[in-house]
Amino acid sequence: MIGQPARDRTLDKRPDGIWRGAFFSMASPCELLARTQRKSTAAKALELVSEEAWRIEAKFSRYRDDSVVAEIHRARGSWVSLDDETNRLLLFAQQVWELSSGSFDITSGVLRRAWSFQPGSAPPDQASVERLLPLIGWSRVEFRPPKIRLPEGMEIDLGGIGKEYAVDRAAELVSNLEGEFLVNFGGDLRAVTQQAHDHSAHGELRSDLSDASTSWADSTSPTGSSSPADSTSPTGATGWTVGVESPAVDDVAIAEIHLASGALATSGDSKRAVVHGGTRYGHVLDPRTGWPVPHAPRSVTVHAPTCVEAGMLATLALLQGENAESFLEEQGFRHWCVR
Amino acid sequence: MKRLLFFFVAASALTGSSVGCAHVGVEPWDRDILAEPEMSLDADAVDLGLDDHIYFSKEASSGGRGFGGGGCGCN
Amino acid sequence: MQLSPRKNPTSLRTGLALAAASLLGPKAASAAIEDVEVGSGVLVYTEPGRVSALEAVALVTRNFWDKHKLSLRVVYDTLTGASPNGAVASRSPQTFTRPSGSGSYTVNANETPLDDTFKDTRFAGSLTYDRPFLSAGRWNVGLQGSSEHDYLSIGASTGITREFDRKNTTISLGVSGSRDEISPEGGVPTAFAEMGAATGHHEDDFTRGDDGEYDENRGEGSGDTKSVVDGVIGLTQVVNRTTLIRFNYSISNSSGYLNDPYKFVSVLYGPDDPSAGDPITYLYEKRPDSHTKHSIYAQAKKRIASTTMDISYRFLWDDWGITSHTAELKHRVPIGETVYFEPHVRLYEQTAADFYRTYLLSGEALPAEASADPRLGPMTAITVGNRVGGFHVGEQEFAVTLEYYRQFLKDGDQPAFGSLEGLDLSEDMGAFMFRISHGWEP
Repeated sequence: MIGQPARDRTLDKRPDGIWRGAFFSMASPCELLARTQRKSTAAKALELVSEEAWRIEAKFSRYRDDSVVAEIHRARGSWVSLDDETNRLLLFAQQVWELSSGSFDITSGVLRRAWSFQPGSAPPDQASVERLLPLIGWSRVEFRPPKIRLPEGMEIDLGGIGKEYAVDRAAELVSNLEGEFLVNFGGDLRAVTQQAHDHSAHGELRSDLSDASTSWADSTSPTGSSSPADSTSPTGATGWTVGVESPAVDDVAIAEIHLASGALATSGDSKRAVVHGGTRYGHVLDPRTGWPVPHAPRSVTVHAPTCVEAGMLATLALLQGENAESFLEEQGFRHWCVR
Repeated sequence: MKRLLFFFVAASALTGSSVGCAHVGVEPWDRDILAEPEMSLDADAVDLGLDDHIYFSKEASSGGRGFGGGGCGCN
Repeated sequence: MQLSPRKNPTSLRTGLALAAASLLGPKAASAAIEDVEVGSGVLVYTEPGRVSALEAVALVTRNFWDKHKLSLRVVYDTLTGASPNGAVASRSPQTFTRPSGSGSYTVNANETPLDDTFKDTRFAGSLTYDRPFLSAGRWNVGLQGSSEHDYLSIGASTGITREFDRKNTTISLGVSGSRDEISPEGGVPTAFAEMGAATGHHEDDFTRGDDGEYDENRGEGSGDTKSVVDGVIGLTQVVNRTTLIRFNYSISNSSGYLNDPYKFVSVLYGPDDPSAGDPITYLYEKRPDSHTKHSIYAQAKKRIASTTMDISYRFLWDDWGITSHTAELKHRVPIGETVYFEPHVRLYEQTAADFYRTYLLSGEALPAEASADPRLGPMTAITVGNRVGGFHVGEQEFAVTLEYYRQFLKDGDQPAFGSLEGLDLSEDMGAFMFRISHGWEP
């Protein structure tokens, strides 16, 4: 067992009056922004959000011996009983696997044994990839809720879902508090807006002012990877202005998004690619072939009602390779792709 | 005429105390009452629309709350 | 469990939304779930002895999770019965040609002339798309249409709203325009032409082209048009936790054919004539071809204990010389878990249009315009009623409303004289309104 990670959190009031809580979880800097009057409310929100992030990290991390995932792996081919939350996560993974015709598969993590995305490393040979393929495929897993049996040698990895799930959970926990919040776990984020009232300026215009508005800073090519959320727009506006960073240049926002509702999630990381013999091997591996998906964008950011939806859509879009944009167009979600 | 004006003045007095207050507006978390459907200025839109059409066709005035209506040969 | 990946999932979007909802639980997903709201209502309006109308409306709003929204409104109404034709009452029976030109109707002595021909059915619809716009605003655009056998209207509208100060202040702007086509039964009457004699044809085989007087005086062709442009600017302000106010200024301009093709003005023998006050003939009315109205509207909504008060006032003035005041009060008082009473009072008062004439006199120069339409005359009106709502049947909510509306028509500037003395030239009108409305969020 790896030592207990540091569980520090800080809470500050920024010059613009917004509370910012920060902590570290799931290998990412995490933050909570709160537009609320009382410090106690902001502190309570930060406590709820950070405890939830740490709880989910501890429960589902594949790096920790005491996680549910480790327990399933240790069973080595025997049945393991699962709790309700794990069942729901695995059912979700199964549904996405079905919806994506198998291109999203939580058993594909074993490909890491062949692929190293360290700088300077070479792509693996076909033989070593093929040796791993029999260990991949959700259809080989026996999942009969509330029990699961994983064939020996196979692994499951909830890393592709866990962070987004944690964002949605944390957002739900703070939704009962007074104020407006933005939950941001390493660039996957969700806005929590108060349900305001409905007062239209005049009836026939049918203006609905009850809801926070969502709008998009339409920069010419609104693309980009994740990134830290920033603060509020000018006086009175609600929602959050979120900077989208270029994956190539750190800390340079290439698009600003006004997020009043829903979630943003990003898949992709430019730092994880192998360039060998003039060919760039992206990090997006197709679980059905074991090889990188050709022509995949370097990152995809999607706006969707929940963070798990946004995250899955971003991942599925990457797996579409050169059709990533048209796939997202077809599904009707706002998106930013960086190639 | 006088009767109508009196009515309106009396009605304004109901809200007068709050209009005079320096702190106009509420924080987002104090919108609990305002969020209720009956507090919408256009609550019961179906009824309002039916009424507007009747008065449009029976009086010389229309609109005010929204567009003047029209699109009907009834006036 | 052995599964094979499903090919061609019917809808990834929907599947994913359902999967997310079962992962996160309905509550967490509920904020993001798209919904449909349905509202409908039926109004029965009846003026005893005069017209009756039935109006039905349905409103469907689709809310998309990203705050876009689409609304469709459909209206059907039907009207039958008798309506004042503008002529004044007389000591002897009066006979009028029906608007179609075929046949006639006779009004008893001493009675306000009513045209009993009215029978009309109208279909109207509008579609509005409303979406977020910039960071704290919304933008909407809509199309409207309305059709009757003698009237067709097509219009469009657009508006924007912007919120300030934590959404406590909202400013809105809207414009709309419509193009209407009027094609009266029997053609468009020439303004100030005399009502023609009935042709004697039956309505069914009425044909134009016969050289009768009727057709000559309906000589302006089969149809005419009218354009309407409206603008509204509004301010909504949250005052405190229980109070909300709004102010609107509206302007509306209509131009083109603004006459009511079915209304007459009586021409009477003058006071010096032996038959003083008796009708000689009836002229089709004539209104100006442009009309600009302005209005100021103020509304306040306030929660007082468990009750909700809604007060509004409108002041309207126009270039026809009409000014009007409208004041309204609704007070919703809960009387149970969800059921409430909502008494309603509405007071209305208007001055007459400059060209409003109860009658014209023979021998007098014809004015530039004249209309005897009681709706353009001086009046006071009151509506009192009560709405009882909050009845739930499953997900459906119902309300019923009963109201009484009375118009007190005032005499115009022109005195009764001769045979008119003692006749009621501005007969009051009363109407009952019964409404059932319904809301549903499936």
